Amino acid sequence: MAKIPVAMVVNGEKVGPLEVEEYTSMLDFLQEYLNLTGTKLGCGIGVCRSCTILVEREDGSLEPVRSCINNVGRFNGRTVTTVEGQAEYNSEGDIVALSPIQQAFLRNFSFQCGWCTPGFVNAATALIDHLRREPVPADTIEAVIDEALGEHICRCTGYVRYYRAVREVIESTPGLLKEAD
Amino acid sequence: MEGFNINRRNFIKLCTVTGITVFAAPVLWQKGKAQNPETARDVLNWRGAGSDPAFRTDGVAKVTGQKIFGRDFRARDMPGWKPQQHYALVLRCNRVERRFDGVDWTQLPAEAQPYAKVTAETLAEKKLKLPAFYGEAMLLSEGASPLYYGHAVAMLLFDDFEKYATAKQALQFNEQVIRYGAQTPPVERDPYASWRIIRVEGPQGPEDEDLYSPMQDGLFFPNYRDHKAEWPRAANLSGSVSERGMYYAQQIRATTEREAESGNWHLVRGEYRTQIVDPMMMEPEAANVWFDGERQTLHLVLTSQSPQDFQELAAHMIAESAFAAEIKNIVVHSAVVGGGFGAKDHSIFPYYGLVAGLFGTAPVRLANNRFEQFQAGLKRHPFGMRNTLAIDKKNGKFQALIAEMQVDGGGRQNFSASVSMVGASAIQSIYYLPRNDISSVANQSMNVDSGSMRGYGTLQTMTAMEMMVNQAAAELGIDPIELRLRNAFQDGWRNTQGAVPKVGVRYRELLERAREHPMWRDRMERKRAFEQENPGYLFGTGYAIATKDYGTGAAAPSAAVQFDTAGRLSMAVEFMEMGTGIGTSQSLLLETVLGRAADHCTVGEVDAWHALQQFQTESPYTMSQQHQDQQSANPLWTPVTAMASAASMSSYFQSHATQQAAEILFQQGLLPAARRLWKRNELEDGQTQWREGKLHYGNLPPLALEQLAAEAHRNGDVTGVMVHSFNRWEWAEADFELHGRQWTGSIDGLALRRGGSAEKVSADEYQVEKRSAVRYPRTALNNAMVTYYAPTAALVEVVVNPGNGEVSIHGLQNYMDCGRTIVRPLVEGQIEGGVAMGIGHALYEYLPPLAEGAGNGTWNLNRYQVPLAKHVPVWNQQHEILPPATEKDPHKGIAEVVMIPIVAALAEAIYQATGKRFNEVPITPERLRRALNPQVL
Repeated sequence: MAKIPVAMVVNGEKVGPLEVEEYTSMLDFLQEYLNLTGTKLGCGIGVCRSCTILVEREDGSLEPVRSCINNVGRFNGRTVTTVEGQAEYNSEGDIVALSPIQQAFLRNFSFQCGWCTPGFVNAATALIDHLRREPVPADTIEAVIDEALGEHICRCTGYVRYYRAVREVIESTPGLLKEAD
Repeated sequence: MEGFNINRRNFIKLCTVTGITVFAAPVLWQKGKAQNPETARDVLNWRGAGSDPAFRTDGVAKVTGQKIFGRDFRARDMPGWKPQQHYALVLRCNRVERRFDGVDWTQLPAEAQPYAKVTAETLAEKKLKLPAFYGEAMLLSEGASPLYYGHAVAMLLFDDFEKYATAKQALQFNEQVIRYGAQTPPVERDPYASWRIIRVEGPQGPEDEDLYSPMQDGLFFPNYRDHKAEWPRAANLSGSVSERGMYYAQQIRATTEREAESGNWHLVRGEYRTQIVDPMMMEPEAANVWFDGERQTLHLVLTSQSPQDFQELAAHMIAESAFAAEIKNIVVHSAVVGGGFGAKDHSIFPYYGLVAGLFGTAPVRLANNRFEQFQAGLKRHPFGMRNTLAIDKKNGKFQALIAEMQVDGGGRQNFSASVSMVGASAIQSIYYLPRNDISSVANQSMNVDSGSMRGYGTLQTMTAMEMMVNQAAAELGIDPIELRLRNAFQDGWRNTQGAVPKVGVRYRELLERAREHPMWRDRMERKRAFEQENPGYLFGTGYAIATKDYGTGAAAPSAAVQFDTAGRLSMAVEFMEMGTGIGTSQSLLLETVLGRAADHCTVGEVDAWHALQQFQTESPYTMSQQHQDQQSANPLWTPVTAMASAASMSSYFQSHATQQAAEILFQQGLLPAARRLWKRNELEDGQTQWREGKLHYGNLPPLALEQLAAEAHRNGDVTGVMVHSFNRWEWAEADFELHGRQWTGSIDGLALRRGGSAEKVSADEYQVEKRSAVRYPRTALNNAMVTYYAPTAALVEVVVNPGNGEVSIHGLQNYMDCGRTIVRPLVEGQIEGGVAMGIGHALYEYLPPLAEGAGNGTWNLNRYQVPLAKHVPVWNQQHEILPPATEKDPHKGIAEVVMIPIVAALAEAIYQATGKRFNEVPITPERLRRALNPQVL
């Protein structure tokens, strides 16, 4: 067994340096070392996307990454956001505001059991971030959503209300769409 | 009655567990980062202003990643627990044809050694055995042959995560770990159960007495020879139940052959098969168990939708073991979510967690990864059916159904007996059948065991029925919806068991709506137009309808509703959250009775019901009428104290208890307060009305709930009501003396709170009110099997690519009768989710049996295709929910039915597109491609 030191920023807080086995997955690191269990194990082999988290790229844009198939070392020095870091909290730890995506999922009754929700929240948040930087033609919106979320697995609501919620956020947020060419 | 030991409750009588007290801890709702998700819920105003709530009450917790699933909890999250977290893993066989010759422990890396190895020998030494429901050999003994693929042989315990993770990496998929010896013959055992439902309509027609039916005559069972069911041969019209039954069975078969030969009846005959399906619920099973030796207490955190049953069986298991002397208390901690859409009912998994905990020196976490969940988790039963449907050629009326079903239950019995019975009793779907001979045998096999999963046998059998009806329509040249209309069941008629359903059936309405839809009306033109515009593609339209029974015949929901001095409403219900939003719907139900939705709702409450002081004796399914009559004399007796949760059960059964509690609270708590405040001795029944949170009566000044609640508290009136109810296809009814007056309601247990200050429902504030009389539904109703139904229909257009066999859904219209909806978007979510799951069953999801199947430990989502968004008509599916026929319509249970008609509708649409009829699901792209291109490999 070989250990590596890891340090990163998770949900705005500095984590580490901690010594962990180099094969430790990011999902296990979040759950077993940081007790952040909002990121969910679905398949453990990178298929279902339940475990999707966000990593900040150098330009500040957000990259959705599957935490179950990426080892913790890949996140060394990076800034990471999990589902627990999406809402705004006050100093007492109470939620004071939800992100637009969280609100849309809530108000569209997008989820039932809620296991796949964290992955959808993060992937949809990354999509919004992407569209802010690179707006797309309005008539491609369905394809764009499918491209971003099409691999995520939900067993309760049949995707309809997730897709509808994301569409609503895209259409109601200025600057994400451009007129068709 | 052999084979009837199937219910969820029949172990109670075994459970006088000397010296072990079982506690149910308050439902886990751990504060994650959010200190209190309920605060956010209230700040964001979940109730909103419309008739439906703005969002579900557990929504904030779910969308912010709070700890609400059993799997989320670690030792350090649990107050009072030792914080060190230990980990366990289970080793399982991936073959069955050879003897298990022990474990090669040298495969464990030196730096990842477990501190405990639990084997069959360890269990024997400690006298630990599975509850009888699950069968024998919890861990397989060295030298024995595996009973099924995935049979567990050992558990290893590790004192830190790194050792555990390292060991798991080394052992999972390692063929050297388990040693196999000499070849052994396959294990064969008798079937788990067999059923036969024979009915012949009487001369007066469908509403009158039958010549023969299970409801009227009772059930009979076969003998087993060479592990096969052998039905009695003796047939005699004036003989015993079985002799008369066999007489009529022979008569049905002879008549069918004769009428077919003479050209009067058309027969649709076929073999219909369904596959093994994994529920693929998103949360893999997990348990966290701490044996606190110092306090002689065993704590368990579970992922289960039936924790009540687990508690009792676990106590029993420990009481009979060598741990009996060391454990005085068992504390079961349940999470808010009992399971997404089900699949965690009576799973064997928690017992492995329990055993791991018993041998742990700190809290032990046992958590399946997805490979393990596929290898060891409950499956949907595959059905093989040989069916004959006889139709009168001159009028298109169904004359007889003969069905022989073989159900594969896998290596452990679980609910196989029950599922095979429900499947058999459901095959009639929405149709009236004057004659039926339906048999169903639940077989043991070496497959992974199947259990309670969405559909519960009905998906399998009703799909076959719909396939037959569609085929009959084509062969007789009758419009498929017209054929259905001619045969639709009507209110007051008898079902295949001879029982009369209690809930109004609106099949005709559903059928007629579809008939008028352009997708149906113009289907030929649409096909022609599409194929012309898209050369090379094939287009087809299919329709199917299904009606799903809901209920178990022994439903026993409890509910409690109370208000504080400020008029805040708090409630508790027994059912757990199954994804369907029970906390939201039950909270909302209070609005019409008490003027506002609940401010707090505890779901999955277990402890509070002790205030009712109820007890049960025998299985409600098998008890005699005499036993019921005798026991009923005791005002604290009930046929069933508590029940497992199911997604399709809350809307009808739990709602009943909630509404009863709310109504009693209104009558006994708020109305007396209103009379005093209004200074009226009497208020005319039904003339009070809630408007904008205030109670109105004529021209008197409206009263706010706050005022009424304060007055009730001040005066010592009733401020909380707890009820228990029982339903055996009818509700039990009891009389109580309340304030010197007799009060009668559809409950059998009652406790009241006067005054009180606890924020949430708490047993010690409630006093039991003993009933003065009770009327339970007759035990003979057990033979009725099912009588509550909710129907759904699906109209679907598909486009088939004949080159690769891919089916895409072009259009989809669903129709549903769910009675009165409680929260419409929750119902719609159920519909959309059911559609996706039905598409999976029809076209994609498949596990092969035996060695290639899930039990070999190599299955995961890379091979098991569940529907993705691209497989589902995400943007273009429509549904129509029938408005309730009356204001008294029940809230019907619909969580299971939606996925059913889509399966047969897809099969029919594929036939209409390609000319290929499939009687077997799934119709995968590969199967379809091969069928369309037989010349290409």
